This record gives sequence, structure tokens and C-alpha cells, in this order.
Amino acid sequence: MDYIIPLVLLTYTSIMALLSLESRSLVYGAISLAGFFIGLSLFFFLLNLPYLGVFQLLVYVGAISVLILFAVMVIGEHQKAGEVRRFRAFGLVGGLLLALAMAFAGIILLMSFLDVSFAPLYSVLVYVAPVVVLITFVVLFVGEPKGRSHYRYRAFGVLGAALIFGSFTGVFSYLGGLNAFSGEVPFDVGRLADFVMNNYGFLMVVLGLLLASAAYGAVALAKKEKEEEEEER
Amino acid sequence: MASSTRRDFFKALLAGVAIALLIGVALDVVLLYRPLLDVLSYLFTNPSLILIHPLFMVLIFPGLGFVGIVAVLAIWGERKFAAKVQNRVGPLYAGALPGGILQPIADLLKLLFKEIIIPKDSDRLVFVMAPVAAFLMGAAPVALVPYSPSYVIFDFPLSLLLFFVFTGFFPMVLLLAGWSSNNKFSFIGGLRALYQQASYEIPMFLSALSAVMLAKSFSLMDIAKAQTGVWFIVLAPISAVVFFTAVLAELEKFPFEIPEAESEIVAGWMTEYSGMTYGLYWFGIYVKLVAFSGLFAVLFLGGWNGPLIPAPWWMIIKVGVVATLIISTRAFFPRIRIDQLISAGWTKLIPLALFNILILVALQPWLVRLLS
Amino acid sequence: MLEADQGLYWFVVFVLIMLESGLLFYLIPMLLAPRKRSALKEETFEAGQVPPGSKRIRFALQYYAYLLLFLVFDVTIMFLFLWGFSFVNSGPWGFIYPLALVGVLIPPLVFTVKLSKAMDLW
Repeated sequence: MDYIIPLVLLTYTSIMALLSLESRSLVYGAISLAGFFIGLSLFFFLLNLPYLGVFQLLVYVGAISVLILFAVMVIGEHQKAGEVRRFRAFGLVGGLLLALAMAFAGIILLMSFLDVSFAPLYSVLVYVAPVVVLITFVVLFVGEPKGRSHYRYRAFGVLGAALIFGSFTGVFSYLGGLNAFSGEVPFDVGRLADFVMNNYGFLMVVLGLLLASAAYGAVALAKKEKEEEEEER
Repeated sequence: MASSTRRDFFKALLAGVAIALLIGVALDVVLLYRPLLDVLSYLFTNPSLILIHPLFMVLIFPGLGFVGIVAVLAIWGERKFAAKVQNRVGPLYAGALPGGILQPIADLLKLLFKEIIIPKDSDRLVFVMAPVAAFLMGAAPVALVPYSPSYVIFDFPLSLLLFFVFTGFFPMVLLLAGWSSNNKFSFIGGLRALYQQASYEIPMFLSALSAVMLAKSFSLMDIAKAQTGVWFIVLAPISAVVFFTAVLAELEKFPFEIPEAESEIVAGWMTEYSGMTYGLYWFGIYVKLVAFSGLFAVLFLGGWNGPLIPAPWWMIIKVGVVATLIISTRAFFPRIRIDQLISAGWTKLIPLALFNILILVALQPWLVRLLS
Repeated sequence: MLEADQGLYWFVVFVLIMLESGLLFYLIPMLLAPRKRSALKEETFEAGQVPPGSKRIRFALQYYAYLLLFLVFDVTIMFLFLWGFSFVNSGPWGFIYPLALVGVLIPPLVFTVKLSKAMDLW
């Protein structure tokens, strides 16, 4: 029961990420990306880092997703909202297979944290997961229609993602899992504040200056120049 | 071709809503099976225990029932108050109760039976689902506000920040609502609502930071408990004013009513919405009003603390007072232009909030002695 | 993680009930309200003409600078919120660093707001 929730969350997050890549409509992709960020923040809550989870929601979903949506809507303004079609079929099937593969890898990851001795299941899954990844690769590589064969190279991206994910799994199991993060020491904002101020205080000030200057730079780049204004008249 | 796909969409939507409701009811049964049995057993053995059972809290106070009643009273109160100030009568004839109090119920019944019109070439799924999302984002924060040491639905150590998370989701929903209507005016109205609410979130967070500094905790329960001696509005009055102004902007009440201004861009982002989609937006906004009134009462007005009367009643009184203050602005203020509105948020409110924070920081030694 | 006596459980129940009531408010009109569609009803509501072309995009981008500012400050308040907890325990540095952060943010804020307010540039 304990590992059902992280597994469901893993599947949800993977599916959201896939939807944001595969949707034909940019707006649906942006909404799926926001859903992905929500899933990520729920992972932070599970890892006993509620402060980070809350700020992931506030910053990524509340500000960054809004900016992405805004940009997509304004630039695609000439396109009527109802005319776009939703998702690419092959990408979706391949993506679902990938979600399945990552769910398998996630089960292996979780069992290594929880020191569950499901030896037979473990050994089966260790062989099933790579097979699923290979099937995904083949589907994505072969499945694109002739006119869009340049999309086949996404299959290599999927392979790379699965390899990275697998290596993370191996490293984490070797290091004894994420037990250090879960639940033994309750989260305390005071300790976090002390830690940040004492060790990273100066870096925090530098970061603030960097961010604010970046905002000014972005605004200065985005505004009209005098010549453009003359053109518009 | 187009009309047959639209008809299919409607049937698909009906099926989807029905299935979702059935799954929801099934989940309710699964989750509430044992608590319901507990409550029923209390009914026969010790009825007063029901009053502090979580199921009571979710369904009646401070959950669904209380929120519904306060929202209805707020809708009626806004129209009646504005009418009286403007030397009119306001709602009068609806139903048996005097004063037209049932008028919002009559409006709800009317909206329930209106046709659902989905504009041509709009993004149908987003168009239909946006009001539900707006309603949820307005209703979820109600569970975080504590009405007494035992009356809170969800007591989370970072509940203030979680409240702000739901506040931060709202502009995204408005943006989607404006865009999905496929109407230039709606889209521009949605953008304006986005600019307004985004600009006033930072003053809101900064003024809430004053209350957090005084209480040394992000939990709304702890902030309310820290005000047993003196209310925070006495210690941080500037922040209270800034927070109240930011709340007015978030709720799109006067003088910040540009996104819904009738004489400017029809109804802004709500232009294409009719029937129950429109009704859900309004109900969501008034539920958000209840949530924010509760938040203001907890942050600055001392929460449930007060002499003589038991705790939840003080909170109800304070929520009522704050909600009345918020809705009375309709009668007193003109509408501010959008560029004045946004620049006021950035140039005037943020320095005021920062000023109050600096005062609190400077006075920290005395405050620690005062509050311990 | 989700036991019946925990707040999170009841929060999920509360959100579920609110979602259901919202969907119920949809179900009733979908079942009971008339459904007489016509092309005119579904036309977008227009009053006056907004001329086509780049003016429309610029019109929508008028206050975009404030959204960028909001993003930056949303990240910054993550550190500022720690101020309330740090200067009691962490000694003088817990007090000075956030103060320096605020001080460092003020000039860019002032200049950016000035740039955003100059309407002729947007």
C-alpha cells in the first residue's frame, strides 16, 4: 500500500510530460506542462520537502506556466481556438509504452528504498523493463509516416531518457535509497532558514541581483524601439 | 459535418460529467463509509460529539453549508447595500422571506435551467471545464482557514503558503477562460484580469509576511494562536491595509473591477459564458470571498480570539464584518483604470509592505517580549 | 499516508465534494435545460471592430513587463519568507542578508517599473 501512491504519481507525471510533448495544440501542451509541474511538486511533498513543493507550485505553475500559456496564446492568436487537433497518435502510443517502462523502473526504485524482498518479482521486472523500452524505441522509430520521417529520431531521445533514468535508479539503489529524506526528521522552516542564511546568504543576495537584473534586461529587450513605433504609424 | 461533431461533443460531455459524478460518489462511499457510521452512532449515544467530527466540519461548518450560506448572503448583501446607498430598493420580491434574501436562490434556479451555449470555434473542453476549475480554486482554500482550535478541516504546517498556491492558480484559469471563448474581447479581458491579479499577488505575499514574522510560523493555526494577547492589525497596521487592498484586487471588487467592467469590454473574460457556466464563476468568486475574509480575520484580526463568546462565533462575526467591508466597496468607489491599477500595485503597495516589514524587523526585541 | 483522522484525508474529501457539486451544477442544465441550437446564438459577441494586424498583438502585450516582474519577485519571496525565521536564531547575518537582498532588488525594480510605465514604448 505504501508504494502505490508514489507509483501512481510517477505514472501521472510521466503521462503529463508525454502529453505536453505530443500534443498538436500548443495550449494543451502548456496545460499538460503545468500538470507535470504539479506532479513534480507532489513528489517534493512525498520527499518531506514541503517548502520546496509549495514554491514549485507557486513559481512554476503560478508564474512560469502562466507565462508560457500567455506566449502561446498571443503568438497563436491568428489561429482560431477550435481548429487545432489534439494529439499525435503514434507518439501517444509510444509514449504510453514509455510510461509503462518508467513505471516498471519506478517499482524497482521503490523496492530498493523500502528494502522489500520481492526477489522473484524483482528479477522478472529487471528483465521486463528493458524489453519494454526496446519495444517503445521500435514503435517510435518505425511508426512515423513517411512524410515525417525526421520525427523518428525522437526514438533515440526516448532511449537516452530511459538510460538516464535507469542509471539514476542504479545509483540510488547503491546509495541506499532516499531514506535520508523521508520522515525521520520533521521538516522545520527555522532550520531551513538558518541553513540558508548561514551558508548561502551571500549567494542568495547575488542571486537576487541576478534575477532582478534579468527582469530589467528582459523588459528592455521586449519593449518597442523608437523606429518600430515610427513604422507602425 | 460541424453540427454532428458538436452534437457528439455534447453527448460525450454529458457522459463524461455523469461518469465523473458516479466515480465521485463511489469514492465518497469508500472514503466516508466508516466516518458516516461513526456519526450515526454518535447520533444515538452522544450527539454533542457530532459537532466536532470532521464530517460535520466538511459538510456544514466551516465547509459546504456555511460557505453556501455566507456566499448567498454576500450576493444578496452586495446588491442590497449598494441599492440602499444609491437610494434604491434592491432585491425585494423574491420569495417568502422579507427583504429579498432569497433572490440569489432564485437566480441560481434560473441559471440552472438555462441552455448551455458553447460558442462556435471555441475550444470546447477548456471552455466548459474552466468554470469548474475556477470554482475549485476558490473553494479549496476554505478548508485551510481555522475557525477555532478544533474547527479546521486541514491543518498543515505551511497552510498559509498552500492558500497562496490556490490564489496563484486563479489567474491561469482566467487566462484559459478568456482564450477558450474565441472572442477578442474575452481574451483581452482575460489578459487584463491576469495582469491585475498577478500584480497584486506580490503585495499580498509581502504583507502576509509581516504576520508570519510576528507569529514565527506559516501555519494559520499558529498565527491565530499567537494573537491571544494582541491582534496583529495593531502591530502591523500598514500591512493589514496593503493586504486588504490586494484582496480587493484579487476578488475583482471595486475599485479594481476592470476585468468585469460592463461599460468597457462587455463582461471581460466572462462575455461568452451563459447559464450555469456563468453561475459557477460567480459562485466561485463569492466562495473565494469567504475564504479571503477568513484569511484576513486569521492573519490580522486575531482569528477566533475574543472575550466572552465561544471561539467559533467570534470567527463568524469577524468573517461577516470583513465580507461586509469587501462587498460594501461597490457602493463607495469608482473604477480605477487598468494602468493606474497595475502601477499602483507595484509602486505604492510593495514599498508600503516592505516598510512595515522593516519596522517589524527593527522592533524585533520588544515584539518577542510582547508576544511570548 | 491517508488515514481517516488526518487533515489531508478530509481536505481530499472536501475538494472531492466541491468538485462533485460543481459537476452536479453542470449535470442539471445538461439534462433539463432546452437545447435549441442556432448559428446566431453561437456567434461570438462583437461590438465594434478591432482592426487586424500587429496592433492587436501589441495591445495584448501592453503590461507584459509586469508579468516578468511578477515572475522574478515570485522567486525572490521564496527567500524573503525565510527572513521571518532567521534573524532570531542566526544572529546578525540572518538579519543582514535578507536586508541586503531587499536593498539589491530596489534599483532594478524602480528602473523596470519606470520602463514598463512608459506607455509609448509598448
